[in-house]
Amino acid sequence: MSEPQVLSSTNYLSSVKKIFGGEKIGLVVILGLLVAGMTVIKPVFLSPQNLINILLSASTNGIVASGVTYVILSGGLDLSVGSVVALSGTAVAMLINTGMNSVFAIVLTLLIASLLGMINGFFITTIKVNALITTLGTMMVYRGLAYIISNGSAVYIKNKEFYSIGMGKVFGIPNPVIILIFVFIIFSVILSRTVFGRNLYVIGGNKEAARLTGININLYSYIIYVSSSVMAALSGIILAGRMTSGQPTAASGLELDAVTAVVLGGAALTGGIGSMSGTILGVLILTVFRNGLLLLNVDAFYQYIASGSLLLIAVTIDRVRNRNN
Amino acid sequence: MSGSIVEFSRVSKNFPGVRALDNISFKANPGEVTAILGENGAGKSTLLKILNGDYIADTGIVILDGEPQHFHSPKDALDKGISIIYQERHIIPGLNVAENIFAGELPRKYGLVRWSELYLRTQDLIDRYDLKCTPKTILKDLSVAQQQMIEIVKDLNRNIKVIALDEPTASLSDKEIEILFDMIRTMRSEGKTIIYVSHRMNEVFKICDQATVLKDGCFVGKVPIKGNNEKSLVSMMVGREINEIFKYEKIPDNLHVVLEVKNLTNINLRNISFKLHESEVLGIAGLVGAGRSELAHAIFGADQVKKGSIEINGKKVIFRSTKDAIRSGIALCPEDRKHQALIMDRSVKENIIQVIINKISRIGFLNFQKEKAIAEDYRSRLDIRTSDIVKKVGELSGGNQQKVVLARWLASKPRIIILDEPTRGIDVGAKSEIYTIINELKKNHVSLILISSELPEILGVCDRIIVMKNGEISGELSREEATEMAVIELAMIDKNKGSE
Repeated sequence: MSEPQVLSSTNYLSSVKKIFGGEKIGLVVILGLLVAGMTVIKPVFLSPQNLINILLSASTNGIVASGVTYVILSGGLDLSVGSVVALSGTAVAMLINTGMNSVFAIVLTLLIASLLGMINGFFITTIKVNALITTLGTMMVYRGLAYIISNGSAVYIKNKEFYSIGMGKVFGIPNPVIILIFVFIIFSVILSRTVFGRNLYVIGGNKEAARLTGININLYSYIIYVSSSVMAALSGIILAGRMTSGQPTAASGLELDAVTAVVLGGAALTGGIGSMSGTILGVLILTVFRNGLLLLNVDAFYQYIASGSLLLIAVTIDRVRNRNN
Repeated sequence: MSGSIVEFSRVSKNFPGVRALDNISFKANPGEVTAILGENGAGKSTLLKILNGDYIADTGIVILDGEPQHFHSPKDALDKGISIIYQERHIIPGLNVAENIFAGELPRKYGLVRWSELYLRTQDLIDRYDLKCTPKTILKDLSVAQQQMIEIVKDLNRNIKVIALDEPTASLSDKEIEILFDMIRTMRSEGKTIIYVSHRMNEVFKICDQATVLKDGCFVGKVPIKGNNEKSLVSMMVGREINEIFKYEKIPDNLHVVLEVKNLTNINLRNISFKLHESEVLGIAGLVGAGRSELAHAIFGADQVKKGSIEINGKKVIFRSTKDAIRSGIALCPEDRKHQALIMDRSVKENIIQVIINKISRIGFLNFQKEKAIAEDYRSRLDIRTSDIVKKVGELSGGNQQKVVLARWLASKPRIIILDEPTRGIDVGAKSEIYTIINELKKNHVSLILISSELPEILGVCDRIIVMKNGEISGELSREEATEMAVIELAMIDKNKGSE
């Protein structure tokens, strides 16, 4: 009786290994424990409504974290994404309120976001300012712009058609979740199956080697920071749809959530190590954890402590395991 | 405070695969400047690090004034009055002269710094060693030589008895060197024990009293400078057997020129001109810092070129990036495989196909079958020993890592390969395999430039040798003319000697 069970569990383990890569086992286990624990303590956790809530809040961070994964993999950092979310949310709201077609407004907002990414790229690659400093600066500048164009208050979107990007559903699945899945798939495929993705690892792993093997590092940097800003803008547009307004205060601190998810997913801040499957797991763990704290009615102040501890524990486990290797 | 007698007694030190020091014994006396001479890799730096407590000798001991010492860190050595001045500065550029000299032991009263006393004591030191500055001059406003002297004064101020200088003149101008030498003479007259490591023969004859010569980690001899000349010292550094592992095969004369460099000049190089022929292995010899790797980078489009031109098969080319050079059929296996070549956390396979990744992909998508086939092909051709090509390259031995770097560039099918220190830190077996690869490349009409600090390798493998010194070519030798003596003379001895 017991033998086939052992077999099937090792089979299960090896298929998990295949999907997420061997190093991700720890993360899958953490996520599994979180889900199992919450289900036991609060059965309402598994209700369809709560699961949809989890995926909805994962979508905001997940889309942003996908762009940030590329940045961190290449050895950079982008702290401006939270502000870009807010700025593009208010921008798209104001554009639509001028009577512009929703699709046009979205495309235009994404174009503005790519300009914001180019500004980051310009300072980091051309002027050679440290990425942390650059995006710390643009984080404040972009946030300021969001306040200025909106006069500091939420911009209510009059065109109800636009709400569908945030509130619509297809086969019962909310649009933001569908977009999130698309983003994850596209970013995963690019990272694991294209020359571009491979070269991200080379640049992050050994910049001098990348230079000596003919990779145009500056061009890559521009593309990476533009994609990070565009993903943040996409997330901001969806958030505006969900909230029926563009809010200049939105997504403050989201840049740190994104970095937390990426690092939880096993990425090294020094670059060259990380994966999209890791980021997916990082986003899910973070979101499930926060959802659990809410369901357990944990005081908001303690939630900060819990989230921070989660990150520290996860990276500690990772360091210890690496040392043993 | 005067100096101490420093005695090395039967000091040996091994690193994995290398015997860096083999049973070294000699003495350095107070009131004398003792030079330590030897080629690259002779063991000079290791010896200084043992004196300084940075390394611990495997066997043997350092004796100070008859007392055996057991240093475990540079601080232990400093406490006994031993200081080493390295090429890199250890000053704090934003602080002034007084603060730098007294860093960590500023004169204090009730926990507050006594500035007036600090500046008075600093002025005394400035007068004593004739430094051209004031106590309040900020260090970054001083020249490199002055900064170096502040560093020395800082140590002298701490009752230093033994001072060792490692290539102190590497970044100094002639005038600055004179100022430094005056200071060394002052220290000598005060009775300090001074150890002077330098590649520059003329300086050794100017400032040193004794010369200790090392070769391949062994002690060759200690001789007084008076009564010797540059040639007699160089002859002590050479004399090895060239064995069979190089498998050299002569190439025919009059092969056509594939690469011609004319008057190449940039920040590190001056007027470099040479030709490289088909199937030829051109050796570039010279001391560390002579500009050999910088030349390789300039040819490869990795460093900017100010003046001069590069021609490939008679056609002038301009490389704006390494990509252009790769497209023209040039490959560069850089000196430092860990920092300049390999992506340690990625697989052997990915490292091998790195350069040709665009060629074997389909509209930007990776072709995993082709990647695998090519990587497997090079694994068997170069005998890269790894259980699997998806293993991280960082887990391989040094020799196998080097073969991965070679495989990466061979896969790009280059016509010219520049090998910068291809056998550094790898075992004899792997070395011999790399020589075999070089000879096979020759047969396939590939031209090679071999940069190496190992003289036997340069002499054994190359068809022709150019020697560099201070960013210039100091001479060219045919295989027949080339001896260790001839190469070292070109690499070390100045043609136009100083006045002394």
